[in-house]
Amino acid sequence: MDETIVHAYGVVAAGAPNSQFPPGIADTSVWVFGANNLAAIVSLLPVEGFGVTDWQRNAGNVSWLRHVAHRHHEVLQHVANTAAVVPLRLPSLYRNLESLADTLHAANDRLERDLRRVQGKLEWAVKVYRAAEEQSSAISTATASGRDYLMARSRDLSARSGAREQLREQVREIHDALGQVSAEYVRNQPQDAVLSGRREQMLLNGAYLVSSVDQARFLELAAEIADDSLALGFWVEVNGPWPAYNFTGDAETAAREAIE
Amino acid sequence: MTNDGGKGVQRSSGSGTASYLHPRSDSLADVLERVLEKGIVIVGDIQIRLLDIELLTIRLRLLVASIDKAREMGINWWESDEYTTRLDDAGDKSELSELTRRVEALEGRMPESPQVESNHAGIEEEPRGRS
Repeated sequence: MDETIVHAYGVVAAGAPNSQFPPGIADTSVWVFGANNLAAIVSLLPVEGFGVTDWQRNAGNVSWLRHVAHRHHEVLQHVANTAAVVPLRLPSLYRNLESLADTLHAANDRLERDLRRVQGKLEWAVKVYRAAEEQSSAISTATASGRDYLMARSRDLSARSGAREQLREQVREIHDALGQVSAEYVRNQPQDAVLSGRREQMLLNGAYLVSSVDQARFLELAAEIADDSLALGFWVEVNGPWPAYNFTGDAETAAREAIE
Repeated sequence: MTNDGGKGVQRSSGSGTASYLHPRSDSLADVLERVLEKGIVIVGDIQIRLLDIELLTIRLRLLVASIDKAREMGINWWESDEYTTRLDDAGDKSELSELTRRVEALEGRMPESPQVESNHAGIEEEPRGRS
């Protein structure tokens, strides 16, 4: 067989239930590699096409990246349905299984802590968009004088800044209300409108770590908020459950990437 | 928060499942946001830092490529939409410039050229140490 490199998808506790996995990156078969008290979900990738240099060569290659990202995610999604899993951030390459075992050993404490953190919980995503664009009060060009125009303009600007402040406050309320039903919650950078694929502006890109016992309550609350928000001109999108990507890893990293 | 208007509008009839609910998104943006930026980083024998930088670049290129693509199709509303632009200024202050800043910060920490001195296996040799 050609040369291979180890790709690790995520980490679970040793003995965690596992079943038939979906195909991994490059259609490789996925399996569980046990190392002491932890186990990694792995597959062996051909170095040809998926080695380090390929990561660099394929920078900007959307179809390559889509394949790698989706397969990585689909495997983690599958695992998350039945066991607590700590997702490993891409790229996650190891020279061989021995090296992976050493790495897991070195990171043992952090991994165990994160496993406890996500035990029995899954991540939900809630996005809030501004619904249809209301035509902002255009100042009439027929305004009598320059002075009138300037006053109207000033009123318009302060109304807008007030509206913006109110908007921000309403979004914060939604985020905090959902947070009350979550074990942890975090606010991410809203996605660029082009990437999100929606014309509406994203106001909130929140992630919520929700315990399985609270899940029904969380979804019920999200549904209520979605209904109520229509009147405020918001469109709420709930999405999940995801593996707990947002609630593993370094707090420092999370803090840097959060908005506030 | 007001409670009138909109009740029931979003819910699909009867099933009890709201139409706003999207079980598992396949959106590339959603997946990339998570697999490239979230999750735990453990440092193995294959040096990750250079890849990290490359990934930021990937995201930059992705973003730019998407915008170019949209422009090709004649979609450019974000350039003329004054209100949205202003809100952006207040809130997410151009993701691009933030990413650029981060890429620059990371590159500033690098000893020299980001070129990988790969061996035949395409694996870079470098001691551990990235936190």
